[in-house]
Amino acid sequence: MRRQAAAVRAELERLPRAIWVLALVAVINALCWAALTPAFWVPDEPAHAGYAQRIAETGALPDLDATAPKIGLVAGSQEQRTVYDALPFGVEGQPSWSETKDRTLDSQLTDGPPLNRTRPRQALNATGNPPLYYLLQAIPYRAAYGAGYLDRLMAMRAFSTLFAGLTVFFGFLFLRQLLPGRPWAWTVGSAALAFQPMLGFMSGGVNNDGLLYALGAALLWGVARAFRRGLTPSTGALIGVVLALGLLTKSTMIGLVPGLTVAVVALVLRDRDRRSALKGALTLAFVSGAPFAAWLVLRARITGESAAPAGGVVSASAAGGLEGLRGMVSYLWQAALPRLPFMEDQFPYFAPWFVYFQGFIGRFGWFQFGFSTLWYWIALGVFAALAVLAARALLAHRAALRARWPEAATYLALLAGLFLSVEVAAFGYKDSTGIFFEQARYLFPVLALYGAFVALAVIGCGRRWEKAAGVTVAILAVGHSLFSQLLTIDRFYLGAPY
Amino acid sequence: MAYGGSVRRRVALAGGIAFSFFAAVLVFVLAQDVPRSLGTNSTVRVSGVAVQVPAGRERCQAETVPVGTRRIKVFAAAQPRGGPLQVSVGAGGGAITGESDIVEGDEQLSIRLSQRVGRELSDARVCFKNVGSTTVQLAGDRTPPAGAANPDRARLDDDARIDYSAGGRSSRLSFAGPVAERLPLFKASFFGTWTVWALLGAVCATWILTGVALRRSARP
Repeated sequence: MRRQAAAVRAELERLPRAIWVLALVAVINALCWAALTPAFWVPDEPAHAGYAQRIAETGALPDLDATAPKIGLVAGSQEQRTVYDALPFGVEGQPSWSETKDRTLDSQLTDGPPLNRTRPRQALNATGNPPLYYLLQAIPYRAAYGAGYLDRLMAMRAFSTLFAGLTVFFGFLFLRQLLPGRPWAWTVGSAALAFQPMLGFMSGGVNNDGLLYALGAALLWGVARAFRRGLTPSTGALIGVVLALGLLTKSTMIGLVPGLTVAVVALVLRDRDRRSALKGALTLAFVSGAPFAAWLVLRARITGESAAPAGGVVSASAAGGLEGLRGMVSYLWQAALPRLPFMEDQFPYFAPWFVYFQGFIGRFGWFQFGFSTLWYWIALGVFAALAVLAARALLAHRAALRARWPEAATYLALLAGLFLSVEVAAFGYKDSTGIFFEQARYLFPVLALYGAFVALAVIGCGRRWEKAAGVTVAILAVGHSLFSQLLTIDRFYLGAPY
Repeated sequence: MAYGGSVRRRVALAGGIAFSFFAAVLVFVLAQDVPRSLGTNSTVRVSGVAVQVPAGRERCQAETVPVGTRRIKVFAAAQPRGGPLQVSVGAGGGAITGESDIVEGDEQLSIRLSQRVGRELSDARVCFKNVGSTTVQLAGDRTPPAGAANPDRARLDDDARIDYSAGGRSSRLSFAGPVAERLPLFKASFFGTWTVWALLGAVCATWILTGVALRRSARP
């Protein structure tokens, strides 16, 4: 045990200084987002904060009540509802900045009769989530226990920013495994991650997505490491632990399982020591599966609900028989590609452009406000140029790509599996409620692939120009982040129309 | 050495171009004029209900009117035309007044008040009197339209939505002071006007740290 700890310490000491610096940049950046964004203006923050509050106050899981009214925070604690009702921003509204109302809220929260902090159903639509993120959030909540609600919320937000740092940290490690011997590309790719505005925005709020992004990046690192070192019981255990933590954070992690299966099959098949690889695969399956199965059983016992995760989504999709299946295929197609002439229109917009590209460049609040269209077109131009450069890098290193095609296929499968799981769930939700819920941020568990894309683009410039290109890309990333923050200032503190 | 020198030149050239572009856009954005918005009573972007002001009748509501208000905007509708609306903003005995144009169909009415509101009026009474011969409808301030924000089609107790403005436009940069005052509101208790400047410092720190990381990685 002591030897392993010493090995880990030695490994950490060997890491380039840039990884620590860029992880710190990501944390500071997310802290800026945490301070800029008004309370409850990160998607579903009232629900996630409610879940964390429930666990921190009582140690109990929140209860589910499908019949609770869905407008406002009727099921929330008095504290949650007082803040929600007093916020001048509203769920969709323009802001106002009354110092009198601010003082009134402050005295309601701190000087007035004590408000209750917990109610069984206060986790609202987050109730079904696994508890890991909220258990961790209980630490800052309890640390700030005697402070007012907005202080406790800020403590939880500040804690969440650490996950942005971890995302960049593991993203850097992933790039280091993916592109050995190219430290400049790792740094530029990780800088692009650190300044990705949606990462900062989401990690600057109370939302389990932040932890999921970090674990997604760690999973990619684990997979890349297994492709370098082979699938052994120890590499398998590492991936298994990360997958288990992810599954205990948010069920979206299931979307990475198909891609992971591709990786395991490829690793087992190519390994000469197949027995060791199989042991690695079994270790991975056990280490990841056992805690998740235990959680499902525990949850079923507590809530009396079915233990099958996401079962409702699949059954809802299949309920319409062939017609439902055809609708789902059409929906999935149009989520990623232009509609074909024989297909019925599934979206009121072109989803790849509006949901995924604009959502990636930045749509903030409750996916509500973003840049003007011109800026998205400019961003598309930049991304097209980067894509050409990345393709050039792949072409120039096609022999390596051929040799590593199972690994490349794994990354594509991870992305595709995640995308499909989000869209199948979105189809079921749309089918039952008429509401679209897909957003680009749901794909951020594989955000490290964006770092790889940028790193490849830098390599595609060739040795003569890669330094210049890297600096240019880093400045563009800084600008991307800064203008996103200015946009948020415009929205919340200038009342600019959107 | 010569190779190292040429790399440095390329880095300086590319970095200079990228930074100049970034700085130019930043200056352009900060110099752009934006409306001098002061706030709203609305918690919805689009109203799901309207409140009525029948012909000859007056509708009043309690409001907190921001300091500096010179114009108020309401979202009105009348068929085929209605109004005008006489507006009064009263607090502590006095009142500031204004009158809208005729309402034709659906439109936003920006009503100029007779004078600027000199201090925040937390207990104001804002009244709309319809001096026309047909009912005027005003968009509500609380109930969202049926849909994602209102899946149960609930109807809340709405007042008329009012947006407050100082009138005219100013550059974004000129709002640095107001932003510093507005940002700490409804936030953690230790936030203050200093927060904006701390944020500015933090943003600069991220740039410097990134420069350090790039510089270290660029070393052979």
